[in-house]
Amino acid sequence: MTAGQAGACPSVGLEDLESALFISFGERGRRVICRTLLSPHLACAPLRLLALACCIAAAPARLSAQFQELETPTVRLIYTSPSQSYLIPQVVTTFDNALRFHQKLFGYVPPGRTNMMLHDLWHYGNAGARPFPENHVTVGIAPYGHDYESAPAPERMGSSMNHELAHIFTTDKTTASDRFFRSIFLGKVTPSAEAPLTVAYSYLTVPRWYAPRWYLEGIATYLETWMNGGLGRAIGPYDEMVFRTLVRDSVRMYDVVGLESEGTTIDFQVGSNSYLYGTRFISYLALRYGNERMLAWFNRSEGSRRYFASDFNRVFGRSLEEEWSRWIEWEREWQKENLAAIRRHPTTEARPLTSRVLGSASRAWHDSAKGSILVAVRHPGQEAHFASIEIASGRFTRIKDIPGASGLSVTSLAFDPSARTLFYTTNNADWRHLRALDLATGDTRMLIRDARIGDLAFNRADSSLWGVRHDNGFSTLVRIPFPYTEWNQVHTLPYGRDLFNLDVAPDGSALIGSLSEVSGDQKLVRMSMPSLLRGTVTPEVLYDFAEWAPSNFVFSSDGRFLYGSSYYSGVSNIYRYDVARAVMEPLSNAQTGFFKPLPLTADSLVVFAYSRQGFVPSMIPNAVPDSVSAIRFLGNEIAEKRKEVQGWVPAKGTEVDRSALSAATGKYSALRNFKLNNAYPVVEGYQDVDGNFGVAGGVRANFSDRIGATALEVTTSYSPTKELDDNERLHMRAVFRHWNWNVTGALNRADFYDLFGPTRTSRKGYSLAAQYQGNLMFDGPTSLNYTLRAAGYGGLETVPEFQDVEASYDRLGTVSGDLAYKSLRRSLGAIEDELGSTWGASVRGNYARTTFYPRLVIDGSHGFLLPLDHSSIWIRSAAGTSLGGNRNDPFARSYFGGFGNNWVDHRGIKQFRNTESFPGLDINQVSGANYAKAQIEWTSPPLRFRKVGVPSAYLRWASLTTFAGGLLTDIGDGSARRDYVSAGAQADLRLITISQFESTFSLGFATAAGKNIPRNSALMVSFKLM
Amino acid sequence: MNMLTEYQIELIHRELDGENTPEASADVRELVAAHPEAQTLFNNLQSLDALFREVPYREAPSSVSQAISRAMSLSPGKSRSAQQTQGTTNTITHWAAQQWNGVSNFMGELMSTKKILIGVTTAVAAIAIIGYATGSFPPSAFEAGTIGGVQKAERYQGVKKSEGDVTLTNPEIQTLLQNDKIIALVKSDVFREVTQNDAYRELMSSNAFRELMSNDALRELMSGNAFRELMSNNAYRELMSNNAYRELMSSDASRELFSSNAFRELMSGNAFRELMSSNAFRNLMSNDAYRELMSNSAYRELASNQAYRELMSNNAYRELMSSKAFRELMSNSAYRELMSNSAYRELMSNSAYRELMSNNAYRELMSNSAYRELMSNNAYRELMSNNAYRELMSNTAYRELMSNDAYRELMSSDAYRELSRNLEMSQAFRDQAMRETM
Repeated sequence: MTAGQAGACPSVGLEDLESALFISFGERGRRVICRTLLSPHLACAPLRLLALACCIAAAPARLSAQFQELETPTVRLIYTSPSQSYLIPQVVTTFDNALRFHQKLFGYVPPGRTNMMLHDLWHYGNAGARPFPENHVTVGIAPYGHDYESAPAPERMGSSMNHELAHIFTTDKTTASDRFFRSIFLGKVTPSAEAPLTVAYSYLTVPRWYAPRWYLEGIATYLETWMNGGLGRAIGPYDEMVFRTLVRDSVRMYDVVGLESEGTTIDFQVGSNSYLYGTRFISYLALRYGNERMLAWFNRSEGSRRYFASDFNRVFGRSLEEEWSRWIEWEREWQKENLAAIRRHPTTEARPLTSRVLGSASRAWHDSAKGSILVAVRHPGQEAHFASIEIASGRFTRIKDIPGASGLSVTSLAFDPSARTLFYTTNNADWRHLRALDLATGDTRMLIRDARIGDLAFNRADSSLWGVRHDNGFSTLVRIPFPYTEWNQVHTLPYGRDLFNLDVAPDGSALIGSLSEVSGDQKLVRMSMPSLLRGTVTPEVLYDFAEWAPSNFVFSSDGRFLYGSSYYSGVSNIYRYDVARAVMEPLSNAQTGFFKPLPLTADSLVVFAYSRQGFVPSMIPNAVPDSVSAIRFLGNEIAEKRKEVQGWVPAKGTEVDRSALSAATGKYSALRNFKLNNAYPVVEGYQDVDGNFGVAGGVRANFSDRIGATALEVTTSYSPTKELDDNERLHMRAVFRHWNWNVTGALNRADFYDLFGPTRTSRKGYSLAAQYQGNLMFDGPTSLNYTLRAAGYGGLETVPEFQDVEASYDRLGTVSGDLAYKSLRRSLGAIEDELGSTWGASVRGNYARTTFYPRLVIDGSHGFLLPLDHSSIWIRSAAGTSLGGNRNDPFARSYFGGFGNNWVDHRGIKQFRNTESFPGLDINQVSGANYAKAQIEWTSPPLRFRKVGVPSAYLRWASLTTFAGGLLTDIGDGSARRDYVSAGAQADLRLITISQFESTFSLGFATAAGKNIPRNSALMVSFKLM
Repeated sequence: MNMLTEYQIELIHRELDGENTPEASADVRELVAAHPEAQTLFNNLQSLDALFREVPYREAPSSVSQAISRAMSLSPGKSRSAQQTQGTTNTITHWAAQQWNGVSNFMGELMSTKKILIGVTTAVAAIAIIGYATGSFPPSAFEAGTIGGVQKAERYQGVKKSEGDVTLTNPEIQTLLQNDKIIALVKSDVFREVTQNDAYRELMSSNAFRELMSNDALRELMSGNAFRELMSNNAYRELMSNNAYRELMSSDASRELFSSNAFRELMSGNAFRELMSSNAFRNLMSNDAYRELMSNSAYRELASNQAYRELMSNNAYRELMSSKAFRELMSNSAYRELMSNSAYRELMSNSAYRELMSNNAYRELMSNSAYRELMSNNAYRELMSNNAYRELMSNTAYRELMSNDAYRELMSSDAYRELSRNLEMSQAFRDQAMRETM
């Protein structure tokens, strides 16, 4: 559901762009935005924020014309397409209702309007919030997902507002000291890797943002549940199951450090654990200490401590770690009681089909011809893939990888047994593509790009596919006739209703599914196929599980029964519905939870049993147990003992004036919304060509519009040292971005990281550069970008590209055109990209003193996963040549050498992968007018740290990469030709500080040798701040 | 009727024209007295002649007169009679079709209101004008059950969200965008071309258009069965793509007609309604003989006396003349009023109009029951008398749009036709939402 903090925040804006713009803009702009914002690289808020700006900059300019803006006294609503306007009254109403509720609860009124952005770039609805530089909420308007009822919710705009505003109130509320620093810095400071002092500034202005995700999500989910009338994770059957399973299997629960260091990275639940543990811990605190005390921990009132863990001590009188341990003990007892309740009657023993735990699993299909089941799985360490599991032997066969898998259901899967074709979806978090896999040949083909269709079901009677399409906030039942290249609308449900978990009767006479209402209620419904084909949609409720949802009901092979699951007893058990008798019967008494039944024979069926590592395909008998007992819910206990939560329902305000809203809506103007975000002091380093070094002090000011599509950063500093010439003491740099454009100007450029060396980016002189970045393809993990750049330099002493290489002339003009293809993927829990390919080609030209020095550079890489989880082999290569001019002129040559890391850095940690790097040699030690380079590397599985550190600083993982490479220069020039070899290794250690900042300590060693160069070894030490 | 010879028919005509000798007149009286067919023909022609004599004469522009004279080479007397006979019958049907086209064009118009929704949305909203929705949500009521042997878990439930907690603005319009046909249409080149057309944009921004969009009569009309059926009619689609029709729609004569007071009075008066709803008119429209006559090449080739004579001897013509429906029509006051309209008469001399009259699709449409039903629809008539509508009809941008190739292609496309049949669209149009959106 809502993602809240860091993760969701910056996905923020741009995604909206395309939701409705697909029609008017086509795919490209949407993909640019969506792909960038959803990139797994962008795990932390600052990076995502940066990405937001970047992808807005990369978006086609026409997109901006679609942005709409509406201001009310409380919210500045920006949505990316007029087609979303139908939702505006609901958004404004629910926002105001939630705002008033939180104002009363926290005793705080946020200054100014909250910015909000709507978009439709995801398959399922989600939202995020961040407090800087202004309070900002982003909402994806698609219907919520329903997997395993892991995030129950009623109408999604209301739910999103209830949740996201909890983030705003818990992170934005200030004390006098916070307000003081905000006044000093002219606003809340967004952390920037280029100016790492911003970490401190940001902490001083928004201290409660710097807390672990479980803290932020826990309170938001807790409040949201009660504000939703009790529908939410605080009374969630999935949550109960997760902790009950840990207790049943006597498995440790994560401690407060382990949850962040390990629990959100290697567990198949990954980020969901922040919600699971956070909600549970907050609920425990409320039950044990009362809501008032629990809320005091989240309320940044005068006298509270800045750091969340310190404030816990103040409120509860003991350390967070200690109370966390007490909760775990309490939780064990709670779950033991629930297990005892389940065991009052004989429990159902499920026989695993295979010893392998699948992790997340899709719906399974019976391949009767092969005596196996077909299923899509996703497990940490390996890319998601299709698998065939033999029913008799349990033999597990990997069939094909699935790019763009996501969530607990991996992909939407349907099977045509006669054609032996699997239908599935890729880009599952994004706009889904519909694809087919021919099991006979292994070939895959794209059927419908950007279909946005999920919940697939196959109709054997006419070989049609059925599914549910999400678009602009609506769910549409669609039919996809053979050959599956187009879909036809059958019926679009009114806003707030959703249809999911479809199945078609074996004879094609009916379609069943789960239907959710605005209230969050879900019902098992059946629709006559002939009526559907006539366009008449009258769902018949087969069974109402009351407040418990029906899930994944499917027909038996003879169509007489339906099998599915429900948390009717609080535990997900399998149920059988007799169609003729209209009777629902239980088929299991599970201790953990059984899901997604697949009837095989009259005697047995396959179910997916929940385990702590994921789902296990298992067999259970097709028989009715004696009795099934109910379990208790922690949330119910809170509602009973802490009755005030029953009154935590946002009061309805006066009805919104829709005409007034409509009249107040206009096109979004970047200019009107352009403003100063903040300004703060900076420290930079500068070194001239003679090695004289100066420490400069100055100011950086950041301006942008509300969505970051247009931004200006201006930095001015001065080096007081007399070692520098007078004309080198003033340093200035300005970067202006506007959509695809980027203009940079600099005078005696200085840089924070030049304070440390050895890599230096400071340059004497002035420069002005303009760059345009476009996108030729953006599909799934694949992209093809181009960059055009022109720049002019004056007063040069060194070559702009290569440090310490003396320029042959003090003025230089450069032009370049780059083409970059990338298709990189990573498995669940990966620390970096693990497989895929890249290639690039660029033409660059230097023009100096009437001479033009063109160069051509190409490069490529390919990586693949080894059977060892999270372990890859990468092969990289590059070649380049000067195409004219004096080949010995520095402007015509390419230079190599060094690891490339700075002692303190903010760039990628594995700089040795860059073409210009050559570990073992000194920086820019060798050069060539042409060259060829190759490198192979092996990345070992990361070592995860369970508990090394304290909540404010802990280690997450360590990894080791070994590499070897060769370099040829001046090929074809017999006397000048050189060849070099290098081999080495680099170890990286990831450190998390104040919950949000990922720093990495790197240590590398390499040896290089070559013609006329004695064997040389080098040690690299680097600390990447953020 | 079939028994009359060419000579006998000619005699009757001459009698009515006052050209017979006394002997010939005596022969005619004998003939009429002895042969019912002759009696019928005589009566019909006499009524028609009387009607035409009531129509005030207005001099056509000289250029038109010359052109017609050159083309038809008829004597003034014969010319007037024959031409007006043709004009009388064709005009009504054509004229109705023209009005109809005006209505249908709204769908195109609606395709892009820009301020509130993007062109796409509005376009689709416009298309939404037809039919009813049969979808039925929420599902049938059902009481929550209990499952034998299973203890139901308790779950706290506070105040539940309900439909009343959802406040939306015209979601029906956006629902339309979920239709695959609409999406296909919107993504089509012709759609884009139409919505980028200057005339189209100008029209969309006109006050007349906006006023019309809020007209109740229009909404009622668009949601009617007859309208929907007609929209899916092949003949109608063919007509929409007919060159002559398009030319006619963009002619000055049409504009003059739509802007004339007589037209407005006619639209707002009972005469037209009575005519449209009269059995006589409907019968005539469905009369085989009439249709045959309309398609008779001789009839269309009144360019020579020989052709006229052929017409006179045409079985279908004679049958028509003797039909009760035709006679009733001839005596219809509304019809006579129409005949007296100068703009109408000018239109009659329009070459595009004449070409249209010979168009198969047009003729087929005229006999379509849905079309006829629409013509007698109260909402339609109310719309016809609406000032905004009339203003729109005479709008230059509108007329330019009508003659736009892309627009025509769009209107005659399969995708558009599919949309016309879409049941949910009409639901949207019937809702207040549509009006607000516009």
